[in-house]
Amino acid sequence: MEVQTKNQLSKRKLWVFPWKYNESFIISIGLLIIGFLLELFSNGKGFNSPIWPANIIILLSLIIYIVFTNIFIKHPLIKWMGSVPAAISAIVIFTLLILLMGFIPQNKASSSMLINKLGLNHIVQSYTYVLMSLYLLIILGYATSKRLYPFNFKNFAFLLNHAGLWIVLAAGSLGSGDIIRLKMAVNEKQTVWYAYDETNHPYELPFAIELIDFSIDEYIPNIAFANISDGKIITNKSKQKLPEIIQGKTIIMKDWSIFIDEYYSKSKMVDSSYVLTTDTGATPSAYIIATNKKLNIKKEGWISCGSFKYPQKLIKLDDQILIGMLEPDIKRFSSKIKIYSPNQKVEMITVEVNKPMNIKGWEIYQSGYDKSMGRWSTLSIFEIIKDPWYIVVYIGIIMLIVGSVFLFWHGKYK
Amino acid sequence: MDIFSFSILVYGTISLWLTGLLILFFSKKNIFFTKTSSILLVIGAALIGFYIISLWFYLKRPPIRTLGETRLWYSFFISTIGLIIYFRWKYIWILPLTLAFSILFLLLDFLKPEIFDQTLMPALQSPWFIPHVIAYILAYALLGIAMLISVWALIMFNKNKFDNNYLKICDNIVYFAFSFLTLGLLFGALWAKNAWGSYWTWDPKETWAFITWMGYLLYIHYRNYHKNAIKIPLLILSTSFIILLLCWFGINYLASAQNSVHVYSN
Ligand code: HEM
Repeated sequence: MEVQTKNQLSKRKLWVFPWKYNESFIISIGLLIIGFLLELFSNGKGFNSPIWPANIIILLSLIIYIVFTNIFIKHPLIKWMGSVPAAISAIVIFTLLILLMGFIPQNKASSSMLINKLGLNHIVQSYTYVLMSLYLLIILGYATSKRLYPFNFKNFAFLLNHAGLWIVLAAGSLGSGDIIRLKMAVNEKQTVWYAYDETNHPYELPFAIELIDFSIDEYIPNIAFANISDGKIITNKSKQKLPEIIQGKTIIMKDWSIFIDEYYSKSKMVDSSYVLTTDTGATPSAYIIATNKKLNIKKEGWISCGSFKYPQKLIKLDDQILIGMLEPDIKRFSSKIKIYSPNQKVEMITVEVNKPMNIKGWEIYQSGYDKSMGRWSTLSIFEIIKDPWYIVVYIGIIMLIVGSVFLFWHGKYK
Repeated sequence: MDIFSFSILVYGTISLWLTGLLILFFSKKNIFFTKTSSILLVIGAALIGFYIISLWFYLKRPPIRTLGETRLWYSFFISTIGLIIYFRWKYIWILPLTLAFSILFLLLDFLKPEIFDQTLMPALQSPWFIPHVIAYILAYALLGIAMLISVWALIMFNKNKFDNNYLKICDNIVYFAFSFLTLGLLFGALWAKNAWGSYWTWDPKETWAFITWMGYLLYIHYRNYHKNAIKIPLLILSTSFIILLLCWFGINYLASAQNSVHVYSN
């Protein structure tokens, strides 16, 4: 059966309808080459996404055009647009382009002029990518509308998957030009109503942010051995994780037994020992007693990972090994902020990573802080984003999720 | 929960499975022996499940962060799914294939232990984390099985012993797996939106995840259109799995992926 179709294919003349794989791949590859040529002659200036209202006009015309031609024009060309060979060629060539992106480092100049000239080091901003996405969108659009009209409930799962994907791709790409992405840095007790875009232009927001408090929670620090020669951490092969520093615990590492006599999560250095404190710049510290039964050595003293105010403190166990404390990992960071807006009452909210807040159509994300101050940072950095198309993308994603559940439930479509 | 109890798991599971398989192959359809072998095989898989749960309690977080931990889930899912397929359709050949795969992943963890780190950085502390990773690992386990069957079917095809049931099983598994693959991808996008404000940034891991997704999309459409084709869909299926592996492990070694947010910390 397959052999038969192959023979028919090779005998068939090119460009005689119905078009099959040969025509489909020639068109897809042709578009790819046109994309590369456009990129070559535009000197890599990149492509600017359309913005409101151009994008909504493009989007609506695309939908109307596809659905109308599909319903009213009975040309084999329209039939081809919604056919599996067209879909497969579009999927394969688009994936090939993305595969290049998977191998070539993006957003940095390559040593090969050809890669730079063809835009292969910034594929997502290249004409090639724009052209191929548009092509995929049109082919997917025809495949979808083929089953959209006349409507049949049997096609429900098909429509959820294909229309869902179409909406996600269309709204995601055409809507991206309307996204405003700003950075704002606020010190504690300061009120700011300006944020800055990527080119550092100030942008006035419809609200102001006052930082009441920025705080960081940390995990318990770990203890580690390091080589004196190269400073590298030695991991104990038979144990899989570095031990935590917990008061009263004894840790066995190599031939050493390390007793944690005292542990302070916040302390300051006084002379050569540590005392508890809550002052700014406090550091964790621990008093350890290390004994090596084999060599009959005993060492004791303070170790500390240090902070911006106090130095790191290590103990030399022997000629090769140091013991010390690693800087604790960060568990959580969050900002308590007040939002002021004209003719509206003041709101108090907390933002943290993975928990953005929506204010007047803007999402406020906790993005960073002053790293050099660590947990004593009084500066909080926010990312403030307006994405007017997110509802549309969400609708597409939800359609795809429901479509996936159908796919799972029914197995192969009827 | 150090390497010591892990070695009990590895030795225990391997010996249970080997004994179970031996009994099964020499049982000559004796009910008592097949029952015994089934019990041994199930206990072997349950042991991995038990280990994962105790690791979860020990680490005080779901063990789905390091590559080593994801391999553990993979071992668990692939053996469980293999057992389900065996019990449901009585394909004995699926057992050595899936169990060998599962053991391979356990041994990888055994020989190359990752540091089981207790901490979870803030960006990972999200309700999307667990569904995202579990959906992916489940999909990977199913697609691993589909790959094994496709390679087996290709060999049979070359020996002129092809049975159309192979492709039917592949279809069912791929439809199942593709829905999880899609869910994993979408959960990841929703999570990224919540954490960083964009669904998709073409980060290298995302790029490779997309390519993998397209590979299986190609299989679904090709199979649907060319209902009688055999070799090409089988080749698409086995090649897609190579891409999947590149996405899963290869990322850590690719020059294009050195700044990925997904490259697992060791
Ligand atoms: C979420 C992603 C997708 C899923 C789950 C999916 C699934 C399917 C399935 C199961 C069929 C067979 C339907 C049937 O015959 O009853 C199908 C058909 C088809 N799909 Fe997709 N697909 C997806 C994306 C795409 C994309 C990206 C394209 C095109 C670029 C596409 C184009 C087509 C075409 C042309 C058909 C044949 C429709 C027909 O002949 O009536 N699909 N798809």
